[in-house]
Amino acid sequence: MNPLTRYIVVSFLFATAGLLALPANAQDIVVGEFASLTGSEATFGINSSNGVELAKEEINNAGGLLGGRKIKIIMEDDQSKPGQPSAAVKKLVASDRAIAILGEIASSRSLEAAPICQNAKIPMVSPGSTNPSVTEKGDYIFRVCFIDPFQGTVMAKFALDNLHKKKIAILQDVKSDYSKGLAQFFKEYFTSHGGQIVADLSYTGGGTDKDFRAQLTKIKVAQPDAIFVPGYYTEAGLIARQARSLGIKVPLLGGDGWDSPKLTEIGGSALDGCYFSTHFSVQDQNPKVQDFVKKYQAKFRTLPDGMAPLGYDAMMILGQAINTAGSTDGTKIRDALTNVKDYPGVTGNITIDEKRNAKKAAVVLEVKGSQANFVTTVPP
Amino acid sequence: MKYRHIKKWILLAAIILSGIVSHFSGGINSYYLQIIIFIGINITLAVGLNLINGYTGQFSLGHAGFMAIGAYVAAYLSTEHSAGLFRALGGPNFFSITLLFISVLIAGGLAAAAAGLIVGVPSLRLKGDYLAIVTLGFGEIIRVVIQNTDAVGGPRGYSGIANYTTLFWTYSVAAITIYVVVSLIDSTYGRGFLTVRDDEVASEAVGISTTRYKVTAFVLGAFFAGVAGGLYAHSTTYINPSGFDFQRSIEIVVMVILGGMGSTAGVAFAAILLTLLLEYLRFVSGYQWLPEIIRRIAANRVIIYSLVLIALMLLRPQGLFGRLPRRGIPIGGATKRAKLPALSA
Amino acid sequence: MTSTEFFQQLINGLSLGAFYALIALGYTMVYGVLRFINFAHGDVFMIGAFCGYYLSPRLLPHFTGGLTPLGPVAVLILTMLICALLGVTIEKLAYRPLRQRPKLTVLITAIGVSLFLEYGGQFVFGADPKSFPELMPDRAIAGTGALTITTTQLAAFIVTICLLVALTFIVKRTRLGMAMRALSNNPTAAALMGVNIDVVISFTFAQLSIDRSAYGSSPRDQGIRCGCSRRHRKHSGRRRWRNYSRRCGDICRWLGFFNLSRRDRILAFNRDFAFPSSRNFRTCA
Repeated sequence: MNPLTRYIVVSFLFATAGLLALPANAQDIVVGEFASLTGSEATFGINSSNGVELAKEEINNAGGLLGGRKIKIIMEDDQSKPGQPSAAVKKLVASDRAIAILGEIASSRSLEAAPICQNAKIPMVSPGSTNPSVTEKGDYIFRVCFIDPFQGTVMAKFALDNLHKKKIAILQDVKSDYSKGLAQFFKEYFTSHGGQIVADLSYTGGGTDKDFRAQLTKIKVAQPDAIFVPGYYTEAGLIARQARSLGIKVPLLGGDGWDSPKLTEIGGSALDGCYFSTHFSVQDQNPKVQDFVKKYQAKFRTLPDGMAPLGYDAMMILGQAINTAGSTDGTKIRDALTNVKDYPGVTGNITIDEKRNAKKAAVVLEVKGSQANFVTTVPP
Repeated sequence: MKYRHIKKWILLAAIILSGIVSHFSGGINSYYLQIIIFIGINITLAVGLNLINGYTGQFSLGHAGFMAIGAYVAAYLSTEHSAGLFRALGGPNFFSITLLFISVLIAGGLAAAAAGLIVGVPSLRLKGDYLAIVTLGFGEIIRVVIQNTDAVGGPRGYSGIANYTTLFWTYSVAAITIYVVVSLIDSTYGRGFLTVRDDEVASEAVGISTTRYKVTAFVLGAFFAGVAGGLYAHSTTYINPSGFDFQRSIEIVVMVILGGMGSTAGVAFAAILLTLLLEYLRFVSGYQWLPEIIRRIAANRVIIYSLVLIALMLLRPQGLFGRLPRRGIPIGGATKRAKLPALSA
Repeated sequence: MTSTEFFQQLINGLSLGAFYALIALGYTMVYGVLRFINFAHGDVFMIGAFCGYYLSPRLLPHFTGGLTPLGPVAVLILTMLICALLGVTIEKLAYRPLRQRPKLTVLITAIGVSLFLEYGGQFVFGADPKSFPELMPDRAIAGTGALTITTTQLAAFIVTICLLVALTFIVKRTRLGMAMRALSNNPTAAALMGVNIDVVISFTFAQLSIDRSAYGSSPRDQGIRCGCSRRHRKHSGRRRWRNYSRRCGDICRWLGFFNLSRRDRILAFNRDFAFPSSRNFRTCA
């Protein structure tokens, strides 16, 4: 190693040490957020953090919290990679002194961060981690979305009672705990209430599989009344197109992973007459929803997908809890969060139950053209 | 002989020092502590891989796979099978936890070493990028198998692992790894690794079993990766199969290359540097006085990471501490210690 | 399994296999000639897809009436050119300076380039998946009974077969191909075929656009899955190795290789064929 390199390296190390110790502004209320801004699941992180950003601005414009203190969001990107949330959240908690943590959409990354928040006694609010085990990690872990068992059951109920389908084929994403969870709870409810699963097949999501014709051909032979595809919109759109081209005419059913303006862009007319359950509908005439959609479009020039309002609600509920607690103390905020009842959020009336999950209704939408039309609300 | 004793004393001193620092680490900001522990784990991984890639000249791209095996085996044992041990030793006290942790770490290491043996024996007959592809494939196989094993959580990951990893454990393991690798390479037996790297045909000609050396390096490297995986699992308390993917392997390989293949000191230094650099970029992306575009690039750390990698390869392919391989090192030169590049370690 | 299902799966397999074969073609070209694994292959492929995505809405409206079928062709050709340019640039900036270095160095650089393109692409294009415009109507072909064959499946298959035949012809029957085969014996040889490789990559892209897949940010997995089809030659000793490369050089000269190539290629050629250094020998053989 020549002297120049050594000099550069050493000065770099000193610079690192110096900059690590920068203090935070004491007046602001620091809320940490970690999300997948880059990497394979970047779209979820970006959308939910847009929602958080919108809520933050709204709170700050309305005069802040605790008598005029502004919220400051410190954002950490976890690159959609396990191992990253652990460092990111420790930084937010220990270095930035965040009083609460918002994040993640993916349950696996929320699971990684949850024990850290729990140990530090910092409340963590997840906008969209639907796996039941997330909030089981401790009494400081909350979420503002419903959980997989509920959603899987909703779709099974809907298929049986509203659509009167008795034979269902399942096509699930083996790479995703979310998809596997939905499929499992769907299957449990469906088979115990007189339905029949005629085929249970899988694919690898996350951009790996693009051709589903092999699975769909098998499904076609099984002749189901409908196909349950609990994956993400990227695959759902392609699956629908390929199913139609193979001559499968039965409707496809999905979960909130389908909820994106991109769904119909990818799937086109192949998705007509398909149904999915989600947190909210852009078409919902509730003024709260319309107001949110308008503001979101004004700021980000695109329609919100399912994750954006969840991020918005997470931030809003947290803000309300901080005000109720009257302090930035983690334990007090936690107590305030536990007592949230019938909060009128964009994604419905939210009540935090004893397991720190949000109890709220799911909506079922039907795809028609480039729109997803509201069909029904399924209460918790 | 004196030199060897010095190494032993240094090892002992390092272990004691990490014990002392660890004892007083309660007040350290938990984020910094995590980074310091990650650095120690990365040193172990990189030095272990350096034995394969640097000293023996075999290119392995599946190190994260071995790490995953170690992490999952250690985590599974310490989570699911600790109850019996604790019952026998009167609850989770200092002694029983220490015993448990050492044994799960070693079990993880042994499992990874066994995997290294299984994959090494058939594939080490391959050379260069063929081996790289085989090890890459192997790493992916491990990941996919874990992903489809429901007993350890499948794609949801494995959570609820106890937080046993301390500074002491991390740096003791790192020190032992460095000690073992340096001593091995310095020994008469260990010179064989270098001859395998420098000229396989010539090594065979003088009666060195190249396959045996390669497999030894592979198994040892895998063992250390397994132990590092165990430390990692008990540090983050949560592991997920996609955390041990191809990109993780590349990260370790980059540490080895940045430090200089075949230089233990360089590789350890690179592990420190890269871990710090990636964390440092977190702060850069938060500086409001920087232009938006720079902050966005800094937030997207892999862009910088890849540029560093390309620039390094173009400007200094031997790494920071490494030397370009010499032409025609005489085979008999293996006994002349002072002339070999390995001594930079 | 009924016979209908069997044949349907056979068709599915053939069309998907044809698609992979296209990607693998590009891989094997690079690997066969340069003897290094081009990790950036899948990422050039991704850039190609995005080129098509951004070009289509700008180009297609210009082709109306009788020219409509030419629109997609124009998009594909332009994309191929852009990809070829990108390939040449990558080769020039990242791989060419390393030709004299151990092969491992190039491999690592390729990984760096791959990561750079992947995350740079995410940075520039955004991480959300885009839906690819329809360049060709995707519908089932009539008259196949219970079996379904779509136009894109058929197109994939035909394009692949044509390319396979064309490539085999180039490699086996032309002087260029012979030079390539000769070169592949020397892993330190110049990256002479950069442009050709990228054209193949672009053809791969062409297939992709026909298939109208919505692409996310990381098609790398696909690239890696395709193996390399060529088997390594065995070299048992340094002398034999040198003989090989000398012979290759002679063959190339004899073939009038110089007439085929351009200035810098000639330079690279002379440099690389002189004597492979023992260093290269050590890491490669």
